[in-house]
Formats: sequence, C-alpha cells, structure tokens
Amino acid sequence: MKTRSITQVSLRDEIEIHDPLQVVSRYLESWRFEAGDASSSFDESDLRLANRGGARISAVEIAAILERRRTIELALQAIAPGASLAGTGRLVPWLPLRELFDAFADIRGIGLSKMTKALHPKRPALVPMLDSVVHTYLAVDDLGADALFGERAIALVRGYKRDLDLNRRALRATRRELMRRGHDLTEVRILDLLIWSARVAG
Amino acid sequence: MVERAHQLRAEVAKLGFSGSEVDANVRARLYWNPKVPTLAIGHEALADEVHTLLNDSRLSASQAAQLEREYFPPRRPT
Repeated sequence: MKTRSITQVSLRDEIEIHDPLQVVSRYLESWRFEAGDASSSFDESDLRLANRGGARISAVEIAAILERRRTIELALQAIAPGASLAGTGRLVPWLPLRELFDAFADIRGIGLSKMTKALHPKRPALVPMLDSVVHTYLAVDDLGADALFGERAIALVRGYKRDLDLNRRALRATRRELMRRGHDLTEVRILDLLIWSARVAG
Repeated sequence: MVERAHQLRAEVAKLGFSGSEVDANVRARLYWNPKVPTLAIGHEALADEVHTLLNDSRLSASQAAQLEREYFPPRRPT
C-alpha cells in the first residue's frame, strides 16, 4: 500500500514515480548495500568496497589513485561527514567538493563513475553515483569530455541537485519511512535508485 | 532571462580580450574552481551579474542548461 505522506517524485523527461518508497524498497530487497565509513581517511579498503559495488577499478588504477591519497584525504577533511547535497545551496561545501573531484583528474582509466562509486560511501549524503545510467540522465548538464574533469563533475552534481531540490519533500519523506523500516539511505542514494529504476524501465 | 543572457553576452563580447577574462571568472565561480581569475577594475559588476543570472537555483535543469548555452558558446558534443 502506498504511504500517503509520500508524494510522487518528478524526474526529467516528464517521468513521474508515484510510489518512490515501493521502488526503493524493491531494490533493498534484491541488492546488498554495504555501508562505508564516513571518515576522512582514504585507502585501499575504500576502493575495494567500490569494487564490491561494481566499480571495476583495476589494481593499476588503485595504485594510481592511492598516489593521490594525501590530496584526497585533505579534501575529505574539509567536508563534514554529514554534509548534504539536499540542503540549502549555500551550505553545500562546493569548493572542497571540487577539490576532491580534482584530486581524481587525469588518472588513466578513472572516470566519473569509478570516482563517485569510491567517494559516495565516504560522503553518502553529498556525492551521487555518477554511473553511466545517472550520467546519461544528466546529459543536459554535461559539459562534455573537453571540460576539466572536476568542472565536469561539479556541473553534473549541480544539475543533480536541481532534481534533489525539486523533489525535496518526497525524498525526505521516503528517507524517513525507510529509516523507520531500518534502512539508512540518504536522499542522494534514494534519487540514484529512482533514476536507475526509471532508466531501466524506460 | 534568455534575453538578458544575450544582452550580457553582447556586452561582454564588446570587451574583447577582457571579455574572455570575464567569462573565465564566471565559469570558475559557477563550477567552483579553486582558482578564480581576477578581473580588471570595473569588470567585477558585469561578471557578478552574469554569474547571478546563470546561477539561479530556481530554474529547472533544462532551463538552467539552456540559459548557460545562450550565454556561453555551444558545447561540443561528447
């Protein structure tokens, strides 16, 4: 039965998800969501966790990323573990987020998908998973491959935030209901899953 | 807003090389580049106006993207 207090979620291309709670609950039944640690440390275990989530980061790529470890950790230190993209725009730590993305620039084989799969568990309310499905969904916000890596990532996250803001009430209510049922998912993760469901169904 | 974007585009274009500095400044602020290019005295207000117009959080994703495309030269396809 649809939970009354949860309104529908409106996605791009006039896609409406009438029962977001049900959609996300289905994913939770079939997928395993492994929580990461939201500390500011960043090591091989974070990349292994991303791989268990399907990131496919090779050993060579792991080594290349870990050469940037200090820069990544400095950027993470500047972002509170609970920092959220769902809040007021002014409160989003955009500058350190850009620095965090910049830390992954120009690593052979590492694109937005692998980077965000590694970073999402570190700051789950802030970093969406920009995998191919979500990236395609955000196409209108894509500056293209010629843009700087960090600039391109920020542009996509800015576009993503517009969808979060548009659906703030419904996502917050869905999150509350999921928490009541024992699942701690952020609004960002919920929106990821809803975009996934819409794209896969479409 | 689109009309204003065109007006600002024309105004910035008149500045010649300084216009590209205004664009670089706006772009850096829009995408949170840690290094924001400094501007010649007198160009800050114009850059601020462009930034405010393009950074309007009330716009939908497609409206915001359209406005950016109106102001900045068309993006190349990926």
